[in-house]
Order: sequence, then C-alpha cells, then structure tokens
Amino acid sequence: MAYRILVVDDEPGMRKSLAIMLRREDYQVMEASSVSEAVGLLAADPCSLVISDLMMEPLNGLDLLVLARRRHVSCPIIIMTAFGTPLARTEALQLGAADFLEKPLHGPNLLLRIRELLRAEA
Amino acid sequence: MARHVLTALRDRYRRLSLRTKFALHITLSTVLLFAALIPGVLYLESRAILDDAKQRGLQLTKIFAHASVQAVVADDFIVMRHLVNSIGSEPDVLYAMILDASGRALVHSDITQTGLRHRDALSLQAASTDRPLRQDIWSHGVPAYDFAIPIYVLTDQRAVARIGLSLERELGQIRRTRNLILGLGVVALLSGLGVAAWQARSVTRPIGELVQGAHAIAAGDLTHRIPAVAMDEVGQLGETFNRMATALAARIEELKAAQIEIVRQTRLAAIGEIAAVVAHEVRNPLGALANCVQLLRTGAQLSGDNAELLDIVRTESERLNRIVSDFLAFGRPRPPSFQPVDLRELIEETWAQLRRDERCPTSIVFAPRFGSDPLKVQADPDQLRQVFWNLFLNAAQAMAAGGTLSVESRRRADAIDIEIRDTGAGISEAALPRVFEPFYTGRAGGTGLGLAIVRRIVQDHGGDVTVESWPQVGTCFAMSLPVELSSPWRTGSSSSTTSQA
Repeated sequence: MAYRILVVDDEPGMRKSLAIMLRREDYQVMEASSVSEAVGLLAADPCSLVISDLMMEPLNGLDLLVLARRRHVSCPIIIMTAFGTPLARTEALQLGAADFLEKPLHGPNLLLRIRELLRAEA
Repeated sequence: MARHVLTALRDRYRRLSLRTKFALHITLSTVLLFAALIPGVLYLESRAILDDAKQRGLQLTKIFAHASVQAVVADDFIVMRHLVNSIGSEPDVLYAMILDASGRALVHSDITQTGLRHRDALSLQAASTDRPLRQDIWSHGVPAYDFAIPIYVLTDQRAVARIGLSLERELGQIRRTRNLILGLGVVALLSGLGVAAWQARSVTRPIGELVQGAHAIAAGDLTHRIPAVAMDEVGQLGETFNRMATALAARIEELKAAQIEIVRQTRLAAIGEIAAVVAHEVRNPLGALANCVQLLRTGAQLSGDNAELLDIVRTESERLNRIVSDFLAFGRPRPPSFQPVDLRELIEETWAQLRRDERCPTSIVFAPRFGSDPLKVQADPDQLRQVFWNLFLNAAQAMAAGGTLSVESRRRADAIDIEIRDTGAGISEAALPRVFEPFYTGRAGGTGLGLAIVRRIVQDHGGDVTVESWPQVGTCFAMSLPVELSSPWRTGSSSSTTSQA
C-alpha cells in the first residue's frame, strides 16, 4: 500500500515541486497551503507523514505540531524552514517534530530521511 | 614699590566675595562721610560756644568798666571793692581787678593782690590798652580769656577794668558735643554696616544660588532650577536662567534624536548599499535562468508535471527578479527624470497592469474619483508608476477575499492630494508607525521595501505620504505631490526637462 504524505506550505512553488518529487517516488501526496487546511485534511484522512514549512501566517509550523498532537495524530512531522535558528530547532523538536530541515532542501537526502522515518513507523 | 603694593591690593580686592565688597564699600563711604563732616561740625560748634564766652566776658567787663567810672573818679575804694567782689563772684570769673595806668591793682578780687603792681607782659598789655582787649591765657592748666577795657574820665584814661574768664565749662561743653557727635557717628556706622550686611546677603544669596545652578548645569544636571524669590533684576536673571536650562535640555533632546536619526540613516544606507551590490550580482545568473526557462518552454514539448515544474521555475525566478529590483530601487535610487505627467492616466494604466498580475485577486472593485480638475504634475513617470504599483499591490493583497480599492484626488493651489483606500484587513496599531521603515514587513514573503521605496520616491518629488488604518475596516494612504518642482533634484542632470515647466 502506498504511503500517504501531506505537504504543508503557503509558498505554491515550494509546495508543488515537493509534491511532484514525492509523487514520482510513488507516494500518495496531499497539499495544504495553510495550517488550518492541513488540520482539516489530517482529520479527514490519516497520513503516514507530514512535511510542513515553519514560517506561515496566521498559524505556523509549531502550531501545527501542537494541534496535531492535540488531535492524536501520531505520524512523524518534518518541519522545514528557510530561516532556521537553533532556538526554533530546539522548540520544534521539543514539540515532537521528527526532524528539522533547512531550505534549500537537498532532494535525495530528503527522500532518504522520509524512507527512514516511514520504515521506523512500520 | 608703591605700584607693587597697589597691584597686590587690587589683586586681593578682586578675590573678595561680592558680599564682602558690598559691605566694604558701604563702610568706606560711611567712614569717609563722617570723616569729612565731623571736623567741620565740631569746629563750628566749638566756635559758637567760644563766641558765646567771648561775648559774655566782654559784656561783663563792659558793665564792670561802666559801673567803675564813678568810683574811679571819686577814688572810692569801698564801691570799687564792692564791685570787684560782685563781679568776681559771677560764675566762671577767675578774677576781677581795676588797674591804674602804671599796672598797679587799685582793687582785686583776691584781696592779697590789691595794691600790687602787675609787671607780667599780659598785665602790662592790659594796663596800656586804649580799647577793649581780649587775651588768651592759661590759668592752673585751664584755658581762659583775659578781658581788659579802659575806663575813661572824659578823654583821660584813668584805669583799666580787667577780668579773667575761665573756659572750663565751655571746654566741657565742647567735649560733650564732640563725644555726642562721635557716638552718633559710631552708631550710624554700626547700623550702616548691619544694613549693608543684610542687603549684601539678600543680593548675594540669589546670586550664590545662580552660581550653584550654573555649576549643576555645567555638571550635566539639566533639571536644576533656581527657586523664584524676588521680582527684581536678580529674580529676572534666575527666571532667564531657568528658561535657558529648559531650552538647553530641549536642544539636547533634539540633538540626541537627530543623532539617533543620523545613525539610523547611516545604517540603512550601508544596508541598502550591501543589498544593492548583492542584488546586482544576483541579476546576472537570474537573467540566464529566465532565458533558459523561456527556451525550454518554447523549444520542448513538456508534459504533465514537467510543464508544471518549469512553470514553477518561471514564477519563482520572476519573484526573485522582483525582490532584486526592490533591493536595487531602495539601495541605489535613481535620480528622477522629470517630465509632465498626467496622474489620472498613470493611475489607470498601473491598475490595468496590476489587474493582469496573478497576485491580484479578481474580485476587487476599482473605484477612482478624479473630479474634473487636470491632474498634471512634473514627475518621473516610471518612479510614480512604481509608487502606485506598490500601494495598489499592498491593497490588493490585504483584500484577498475581495473588496474595493478607491482612489480619490483633490487639487490644491500648488499640490495634488491623492488618497488610496482599501477595505482590507488593516494594519495593527503596533505595526502602523513602522510600515515605511525599510525591511519591516507584516506579510510573509515580503521584502519590507515596498513602502520604504514609496516614501523615498514621493519625498524625492518634494511630496509626502502618510498612512491611517483601522483593523478589519481598511487602510488609507494619503499622498501629496507638488504640481511644480521643489525637490533637491531640480539642479541635477534632469534640469533640461524641468525647464519646460
């Protein structure tokens, strides 16, 4: 069965290109342009993994971590950002992020990390 | 030598406190006044007293002489004796006698002297006088007057009536007068000194406060104030001093603010310059990228996601290009090139262009209200287009769910006011004062330069732009542009175009 991955980013270019890359790896991909949209999708369909941007308005990636845990979403959530600070990284990991990645993302590395996380889940 | 002493004295005088100088001046002038007055007063007073004595002595002697004439003619010793006794018992009379021409005392108040011939120079002088004579003598250590008046029988001088009048009482009176005047002088001097000291204190104390205040202000305490005491010149000086301190504090605050502003401007200029250098370098690879995308799009038949991917590359490189352009516009502003511009046309053109942009929601109503006045200004059309583009785009992005963008113009004597109003989300009260600051952005993905560029261009045109906003109601940018040029660029390279105005 194909893993289902949710990509959350308010930047359409980033979101769409990530989605295309993941689809080519035969993952089933869902896209959300905001945290509230992502929470709605997560409530409707369970996912195997979430990749979310950190800096979004009005709710950000950290809010997504909190909301997801509150709704008992147990899948790994990867947080990515173009402007990472050590503090944001610590905060994200404390809130339960599976990983904290800085943009620009290196495609092969990201895919490797996703595979590792999905295998650990299984 | 005397000169050295003078210099030393002057030097010491200069170092005296104001209070001491004041007291010194008053004391000196009082002493001088008394020194000048007292001897004169004393002289006049003693002369009056002595004149009285002279008058009295002479009168007494005259009476004595007149009374004696009969007795001298008759050689009546009993009467003469009687007369001498009665004159001699008058107060202050030391002696009374009648001398004959040879200087022998016919009678004398001192009975032992009667009949004796007086041969001393004074007596001889008295005995031989043919008119009233007064001589100064000393009797037992006390000054006295000796009066002599000749006694005539017809024209024949028979004898001389002579009395001695002691001045002891007069001298006592003169001494008492002198003591009284000197005592009064001392009392006046002392009370003058007291008044001088009190006056000096009342004058110098506020001055001392002024000195303290000046010290405090010099030491940096600008909140120091002189307490208001009197309304006289010293009080006015204190008030002026306080006003000076207030003005000084205000001026220092202004200077501080100006310094902070200069530091801020310098920092921004440096950041802008770095941004411009980086942006300039980024432009070349970006140009190549855009070119390649263009070639791929037209050359190859791409399918499905590949076309989508290429489209993402195109959009993102366009976005990069816009960011780079903003940085360049802010960091390396181009001097405006002025020419007549019709604001109405420019605004409508800019809106038409923005409406085709994918970032502009389609559900926005554009509502211009220009009135009938011509809206021609001297301006750089490219730069003004950028101003309206940035303001319209901001408004459009604040109205993602649709709304009304209204533009209203008002023509004044020498300027045109333009209000750009949206019905968007509004700007928070905290962010409002900072929206024109470069690199300040309230929106994810913005460079924070759009409104900084707007303000710079409007100010370069000699105008100004302000903002008002009400959260959930909308935002209004009010701009005024002068019809004629009054900007610093006027004397620059674009003067040939401005001369047409």
